Formats: sequence, C-alpha cells, structure tokens
Amino acid sequence: MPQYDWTPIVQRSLLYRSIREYFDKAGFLEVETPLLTHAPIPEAHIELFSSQAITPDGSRKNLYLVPSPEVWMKHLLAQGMPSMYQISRCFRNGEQHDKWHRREFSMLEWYELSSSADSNIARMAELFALLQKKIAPNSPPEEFHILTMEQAFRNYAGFSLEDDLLNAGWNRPSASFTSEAESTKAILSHRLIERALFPGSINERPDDLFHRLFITLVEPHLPFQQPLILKDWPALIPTLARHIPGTPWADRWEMYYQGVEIANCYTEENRLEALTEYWQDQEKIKAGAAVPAASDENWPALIAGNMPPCSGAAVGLDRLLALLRGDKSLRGVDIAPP
Amino acid sequence: MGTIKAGAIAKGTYLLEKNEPFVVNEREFVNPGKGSAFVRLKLKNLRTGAVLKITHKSQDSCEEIDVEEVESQFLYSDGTAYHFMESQTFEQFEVPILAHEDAQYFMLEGESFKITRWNGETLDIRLPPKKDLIVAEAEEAVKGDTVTGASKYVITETGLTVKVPIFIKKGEKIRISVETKEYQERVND
Repeated sequence: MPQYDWTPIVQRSLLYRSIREYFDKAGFLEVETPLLTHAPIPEAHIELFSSQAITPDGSRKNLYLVPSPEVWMKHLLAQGMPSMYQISRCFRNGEQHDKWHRREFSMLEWYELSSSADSNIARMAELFALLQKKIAPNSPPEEFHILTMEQAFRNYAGFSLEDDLLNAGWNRPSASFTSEAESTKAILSHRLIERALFPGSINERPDDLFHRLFITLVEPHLPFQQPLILKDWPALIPTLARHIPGTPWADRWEMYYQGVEIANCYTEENRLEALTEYWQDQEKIKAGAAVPAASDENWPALIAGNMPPCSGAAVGLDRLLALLRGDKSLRGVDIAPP
Repeated sequence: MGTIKAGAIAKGTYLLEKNEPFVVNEREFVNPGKGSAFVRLKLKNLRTGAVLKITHKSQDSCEEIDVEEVESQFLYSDGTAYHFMESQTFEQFEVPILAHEDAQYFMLEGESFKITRWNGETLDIRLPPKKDLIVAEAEEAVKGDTVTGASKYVITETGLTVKVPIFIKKGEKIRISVETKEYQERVND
C-alpha cells in the first residue's frame, strides 16, 4: 500500500469548500451533470475515452466520458436556468502524462448570465485572491497582469498580428475562420518563413500556423512574474467564444500562473450561424479522430436563441492547487498516478 | 535514417535538423488552450555544441539519426580533443572537445564509455546520469561554523568546481549530477 500524504488531500477539500462558499454567496447555482454521454462536444484537438453500455438484452451502446461539462451546462442555460457553477471530473485521451497533464482531472466551470469575458477577469482575480489566502496564507497578494494578444505579438514577436490579420480580410464584418482561411494561411505562412520557422505542411490549418508563431516567438517571453491574463485571441482559432465583429479577435482570455495555463474564459457565442460553422468544422476534423464519436447535430439550434448572453470560465483545479502549494508539477496532488 | 513523429521524440534522441546532427537535451509538451499539441525542443548541435530551440507539432515528422554505439576506453585529453580506443578493435580515435566540453569533468583516464557514431562520424559520448568523483581541493571548514545549510566550494579530481555542504573534506568521494553539475551526496565506499 502506498502511503498517501494527507496534506494535499485536506488542502483540496479546503479549496473546493472555499470555491463553493464563494459561488454560493455570489448567487450561483451548483449543478452536477453526467460524466457519461452518448454525444460529446466535437472538439478537434481532444481525443475521448469511450466505453460501452450493455443493456439487459445484450445490445450495446457507445458512451463517452466527458472532456468537460460544457455541453451539458449550456443545455441547462438554454432552458432558462440561472448563473451556475460545477466542479467536475474531465477525461481527455491521447494526451501525455507529464508535469502538468493528466488524462483525468478536475475542473471548475462557471457560467454567468449577462456577463462578458472582460467582466469575468475581476471575478477570476477575486476568486484567485480568496483561494490563495486559504491555501497559501503566507504568500503576498498578487496583482493580475493583463495583456492583449496584439500587445504580446508587438512586444515579443516584433510585429503587429492585427495588421497581418486585417490585411487577410478580418476587417470584413462577415469574416469568419472559414471564409478567411486561405488568406490567413498565406499571411501566417509568410511570417513563419520570414522567421526561418517551419511553415507547416500544405494542408495545415490557420490555427496551427498561428500556434507555431505564438509558441515559438511569444509564449516563451510572456511576463509570468505575476498571474497573467492574455486576452483577445485570434478568431481564426475555431472556438465557442464570440467573434468581435469587424476585428480579427475573439472575446476570450487564458490565464497563466507561474507560466502554467490554469484557466480560460469566453464571452459565449450564441448565434446560430457561428455555432453551426464551428460544429460542422470540428465534426469534419473529428472524423479522423482515434476515438470517433457521434455528436448531437441539433445542439447549435438548441443553444442559439435559447442560451442567454453569458460568459463562461473554466479553471484547472489540480494545477491551481499544485501551484498554490508551490509544487513544480502535479505529482504532489496526485492520489494514484496511473 | 528514419522518420519519427515529433510527439515521440525523447530526451537523448538524435535528430537531423537543417542537415546538422543534434541531440535532444530538453523536451516539453505544449498544449495551447484550443489547439494542436506541440513539442518544444532544446537541441545541441553535435558538431559545434551550439544550442537550437525549435518547436514542432506533435504530428510533424522529423528525421531521426540511426546511431551506432561503440564501447570505447577514454585514454586522455590533449586540450582540443579527447582520445579514445575502441574496446573491440583497439583502434584509437579522437573526439573534438568543442561540442562535448562538459565531458572532461566526468571522464577519468582508463574508464569506458559508449560512443555514438553516425556515418563514421563520432557524434556523442554517452555519460552516466551521475558520477562519483574524489575531492582534490577543499577549504578547511571553519571551527564552530554550525550554520545549517552552510556551503563552500571544492574542486574535484577532474577540475570541476562544485558547491558542497561545509562538512565535505579533501580526499572524500562525492556524487555529482552530470546534467546539472551539482553536488548530490557524499559517497562512503
């Protein structure tokens, strides 16, 4: 029998209790949604864990462990439910088990009605300060540093990503990641070649080209001395975040703490056209997934027009706990490393 | 020569980038919030010692070098090259120090190492992760200095300067991490 250290187990309990107290006080409803689903969200870059249900008559039905509670929570929002939060286990296949990655992990996800990604920065900062005080009472409070993707590119890559993307056609009000795909590919490939970086294969998608630039030229230089909010990501990356019309940007942010990505937040997209475009695009890519899964094609229509304007955020709780403890990996908060 | 998916590259893998042979010193997975998985690599050029930082998508194909390993005995260093003798054939050969400067601190004359070769070119000297070395020079600990964690510098038999706890004496054997060149523990034979 391995001897487990009690400290992180007790700290996790304190962390979750504090999160629940915070959201209960703020008037959010705690919800619990299923971990097993027959129609998971199609996310191109996430592989699923699959299983089979066996009915008494011996027939079988494919089921999948959820990679996040997003689909379910949005269903609830579309049915008129109030601002809500959940602490949920999430499962992601096809990922390596390393310092900061686990195939199974815990996520805090909340949705706030009539809110935006920007206004959720304040909530994130408030929650973070509270949790830091609980888990690391001796650490000094930390000021959040807020940086836009455009500033980050100007500072660290030495060029304006916005100018590039506007040149690619992203100033058109109807611009989208599919309509501007070819021009975006051309302009980002040009930047990669100019910087003597691998320009990707012929079939590479704009978001892969962008990530090559970001990961090589920008991310290693980001100011990680304080908690960092990196906001306004390019709308060329297909997500369920709302595109800010007439700009190349999507209304979303990622939070880094000590250089590790611990949270992200969107102003949620709820327009039918955009949701459908995302759904179809991701399903197309998912067709080549190692674990193929059906998705609910009615989802965009169910959500659009029904889900009220809101903002959603997700926080990786294992990472947050480990970092607040001063750990350099998830090892210290694992109970049974698989 | 074979191809390898970037996601399968490990520390110690030999790669051909821009027609130069490299060894992977560091590998880190990067998964951007909403995007493909990437691998960030820190490579060492095995001809020049120069460091190259590159990023690949996990699915990218890279060129892996198929190396051959030969057991060889380290004879001596002449300041610009290490001289080795192949244990099987007794053939002597040189390895330029330039790309393997740290190796001088971890090889004692007469010891055997695995040498990796590619197309007849010596690429790398495989060093053990840890090495026990005798302290050749050390200051005397000051009497009454009992501060916990107090440290001092010593020089090993191979000329490496290492920060050690105050109690380490000349003539004692200490274990050094080859990667970080840091003291790990005292070895009592």
